[in-house]
Amino acid sequence: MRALVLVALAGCVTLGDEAGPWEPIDTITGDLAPEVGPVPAPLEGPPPSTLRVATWNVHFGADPDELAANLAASELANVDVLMIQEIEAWSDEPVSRTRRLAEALGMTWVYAPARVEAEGATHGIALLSRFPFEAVAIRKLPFIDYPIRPRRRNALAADIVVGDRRVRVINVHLDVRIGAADRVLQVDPAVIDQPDRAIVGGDFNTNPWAWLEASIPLTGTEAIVGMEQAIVIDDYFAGLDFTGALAADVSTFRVPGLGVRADDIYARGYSITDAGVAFVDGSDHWPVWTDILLIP
Amino acid sequence: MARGTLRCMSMRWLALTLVLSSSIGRADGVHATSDSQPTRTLVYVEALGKAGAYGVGVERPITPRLALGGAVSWIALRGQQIATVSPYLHATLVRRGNHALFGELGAVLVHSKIVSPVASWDGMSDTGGGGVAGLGWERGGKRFVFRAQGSVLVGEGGVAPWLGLAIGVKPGAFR
Repeated sequence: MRALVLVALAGCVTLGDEAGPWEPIDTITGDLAPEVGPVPAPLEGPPPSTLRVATWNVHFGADPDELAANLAASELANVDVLMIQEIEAWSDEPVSRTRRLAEALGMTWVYAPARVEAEGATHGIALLSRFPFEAVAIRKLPFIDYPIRPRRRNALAADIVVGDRRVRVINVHLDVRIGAADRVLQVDPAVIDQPDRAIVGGDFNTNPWAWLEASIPLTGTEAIVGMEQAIVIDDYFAGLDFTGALAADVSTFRVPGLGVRADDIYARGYSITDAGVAFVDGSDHWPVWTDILLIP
Repeated sequence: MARGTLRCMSMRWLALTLVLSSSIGRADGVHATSDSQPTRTLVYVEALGKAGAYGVGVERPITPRLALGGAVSWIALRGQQIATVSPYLHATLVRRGNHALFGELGAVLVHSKIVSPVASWDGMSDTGGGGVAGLGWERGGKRFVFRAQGSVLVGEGGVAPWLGLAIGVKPGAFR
């Protein structure tokens, strides 16, 4: 009996692979080769002093034209940089969904597939911008291996060229059913070696709970102690001198009765002058946006 | 899915099932007697339940229908250590032979500590308190008890539903 109880309490979630190195996009080939859009036409007038940066998990992005139309009707109509998560490219569609979304918004793009899905599809993250990219790189994030549907995750980084400035932007999409410690472990390689001035955003999947074997959320425990993952990840970023756009109790995930701040944007070396959640249809997440003051 | 992971998870749930089914089987073998009333100290283990992921508890009758109890647990979940203590009042609401409907009302204290997995962060910890109210079904015998319970926990993090299964033994019944 005692041995059986000990087996029952043993852990199953493991670290499958460590993070890879940052890889320049022109060195990545094969099924996970990134797709890069054309250099955008220069904007008229002087470069802006403020960038509107947003992040949005588009839940596979099956209808990019609808997503673009919804964004165009919101406060994100003139977004400068858009971090996209959970977008796919299908071999039986004429062009990638990232490209369709970017072209509909009049932006350039980088699509970074994280894994191959069934039927010739890839699934990944993307950066869209009204300004050119430089120094684009992709890093495989630590692979957390757990019993049900473990996923490969990556980070996508680029310099956004705004006039003579280079704004480092990093987009991430983390696992869902992992605890706070593993979430820090997974995001750290995307953040730790970035320059003093950087913007990190994405779908951090910061749900409220500790997880029993990536299967059972300890809802009762969280109800008592109130240490949800958004608070933990904010503390991690604050320790690296980043400021978050949203408070921990703001909901970005569209589940009635369940307030989850899954998404956020953090800035270091820049001032956040405004931020919010855009209630845009088309996904199970709402976009998060922030205005970044480029001038010190 | 890695083969080792699948095997690990299967073993865990197999072990839990064996623990529960063997205990239930023995409880089923006990005929209802006047001793099946909750008049002896109960020692039990829970899967999920008042003390979080699991619990070890003891319950002492104070009247034929009321008992005072407490459950505790400590668990490390990949860098997060959680300690839970829950004192409570157990009330038998309705009893028919070996079966009973019961309610529980208590407090829960949780200390959660996240040990940093990276050099760039110190980790963090927090302690919180709240309450638990539950309603459950019990199948009890002279020596063994099986319980299934639904609860609501309220604390600093809000309100959450929760479930639990418990297998208990009355050591005094073996004398």
